[in-house]
Amino acid sequence: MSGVMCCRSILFSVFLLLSLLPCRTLADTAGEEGGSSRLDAISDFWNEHFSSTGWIELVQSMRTYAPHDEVTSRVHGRLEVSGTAGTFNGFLSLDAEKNWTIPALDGLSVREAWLEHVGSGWDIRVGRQLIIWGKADGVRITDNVCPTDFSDYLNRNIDEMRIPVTAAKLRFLSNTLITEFIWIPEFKSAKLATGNNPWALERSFSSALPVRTNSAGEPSSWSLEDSEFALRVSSYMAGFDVSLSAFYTWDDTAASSVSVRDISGGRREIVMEQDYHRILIYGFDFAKPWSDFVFRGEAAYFQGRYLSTSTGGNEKHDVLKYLVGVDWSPGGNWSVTAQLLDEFIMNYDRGLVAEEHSPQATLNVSKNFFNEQLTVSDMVYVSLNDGEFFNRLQAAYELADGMELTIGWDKFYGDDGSYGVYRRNSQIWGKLRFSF
Amino acid sequence: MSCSIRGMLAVLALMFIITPSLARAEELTGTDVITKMRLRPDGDDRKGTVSMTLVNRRGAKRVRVMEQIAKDYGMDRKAIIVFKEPADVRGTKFLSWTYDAPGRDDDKWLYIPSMKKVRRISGSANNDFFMGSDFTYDDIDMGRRNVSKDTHTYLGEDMRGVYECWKVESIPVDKDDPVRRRVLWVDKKTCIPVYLEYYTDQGLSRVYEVLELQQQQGFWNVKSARMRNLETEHQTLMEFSPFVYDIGVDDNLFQVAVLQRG
Repeated sequence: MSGVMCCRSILFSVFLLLSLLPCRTLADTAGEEGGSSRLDAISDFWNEHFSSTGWIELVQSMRTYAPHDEVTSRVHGRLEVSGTAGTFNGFLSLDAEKNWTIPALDGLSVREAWLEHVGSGWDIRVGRQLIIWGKADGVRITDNVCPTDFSDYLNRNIDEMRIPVTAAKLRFLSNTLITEFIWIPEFKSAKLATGNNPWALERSFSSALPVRTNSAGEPSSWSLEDSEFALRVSSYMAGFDVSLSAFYTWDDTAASSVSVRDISGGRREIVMEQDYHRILIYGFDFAKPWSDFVFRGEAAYFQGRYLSTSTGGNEKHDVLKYLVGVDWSPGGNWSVTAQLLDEFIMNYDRGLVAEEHSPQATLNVSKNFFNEQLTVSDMVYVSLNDGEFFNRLQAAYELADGMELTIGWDKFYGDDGSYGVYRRNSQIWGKLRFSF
Repeated sequence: MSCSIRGMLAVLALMFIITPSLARAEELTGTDVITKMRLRPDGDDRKGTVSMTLVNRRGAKRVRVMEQIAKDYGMDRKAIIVFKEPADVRGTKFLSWTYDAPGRDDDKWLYIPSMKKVRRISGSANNDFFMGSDFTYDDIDMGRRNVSKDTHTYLGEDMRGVYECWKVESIPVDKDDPVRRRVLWVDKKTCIPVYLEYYTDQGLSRVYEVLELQQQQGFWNVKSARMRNLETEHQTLMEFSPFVYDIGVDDNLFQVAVLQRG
């Protein structure tokens, strides 16, 4: 972690802060420069109808393997503005990022922008939004509405790995039931890490033949035929939460098939075809508190998923993903979360790349010290088929209200499985976050 | 049905308020005093802002500000707390359905804006500290602990600052309660606990004291109070804005669906 890196991160974060703060401080400034009734009026209007918040974080890491360079080096800021007028609510979330290890993430972007109307016993939210389902912690079972962004993979919290969707969400609310209809007219695919990205997985071909990729193209946006639809019914009762869902969607990741073809002049080439396919996902989740525990569970049945075969093609199978978990609050500022999950391929064929069962376990243990000023936690994901794991040990210290310093150690263990493949991305890191 | 229960409770409360002037002090029991405190009038619903200043042994301060709306359903209560400060927790919402019946766990949900998801949390962890303060979840609704959770002994009358008080010792029935006994000074005029000592196995561990009371719409409540943790030398100053009572809060506000709204 060189001094130059730190300096440039700090300078850039100051620049970001200066860019984002004016919106936040508009009202205060208007008040301070007072004397002007117009400014006071703007200030009053802002305070009555709007609120804003945001954060800026600097992250710098050092690989624990030679050449001990950085896996992560970024400054990331977010500004969120909420507005309310009568029965209408609005929300705008803006992102700004400078990333020195993954330049593709540089730039300004609108993360969320939606408008909500609240009726009597119903509400509707329209626009770019995050829709998150399920009860699992750090893994996604029924939570499939928003595609995944793998660009910076495990460097981000799972909350930051979801790609917001353009959707209309209509909810009918009663004392015991929430019925939710979702229409997503614009298709978004998962984002994969590519090129020089440290999280990119190279697909190697043993042949010296040239490789050509044929993408069938994404489903069309704003057509009813290619739209995605979801229905979810949830109930939050005394002592028990439960949800049932159905999601008619596109698999966010294209299915690939590889073949060798003849081209002109007697030469041959490898052709990789990529197609997006429709799937139907049925979901179920529950949470049940008991004493110091909360028991949680989720299951998702994927109907018609295309899975890769070892010969380069793909096959259509149904897949069941399920999870059971428990949160334990034993007191003394301890908190423990344990989960077991599995991905089970129906009508399994030995020619598939994936195994019939892919069981995993997760464990998160944390403890607060000094009236929650310091939090030390350890989180581990273990792949039970091959014993590979990812472990994150971290300590977060609140320097002052809204300012937190976190240091951590990420360790990937294994060979070429789900976690071992990233073993050279094991790193120590530091994060300074300023919330405003 | 709920109206008739509420009516009976109101009559009970009235009886307990009127009786002090009629009854002689020596006839009082600890349970009588704690019941008066439990049934003191505070409206059917209430809304206000609470500020907590956390002060460590070196004097460094951290501030938490939250807006609270609560409504009573007989002896049960539903409440929603929206965190305003500090910035890193702004927008976090905590919904609780607390039950008076001994042994029944409360229902609690937490909405964290960054997760955009409602999370069910354990309803029994009432001895955990709230938001890094020196108040436990059990202390937040000061004076609403179910009467039958403790054995109460009346210790006589005592002056505590400007307040003329009844002094009561309460020993938890639950042998696993980390607080072994509480000694309360309950203001005779308002039935509000103005001084409270918490004893653990290590001795006196925390001290709560009311710094100022206020009256709104005829209801007395706390304007500022302090909880000192003698073991950690940490303290929390809690300040209440003027609360608004009986505003007719909509029952639908206390539904999980509302937590996710903008």
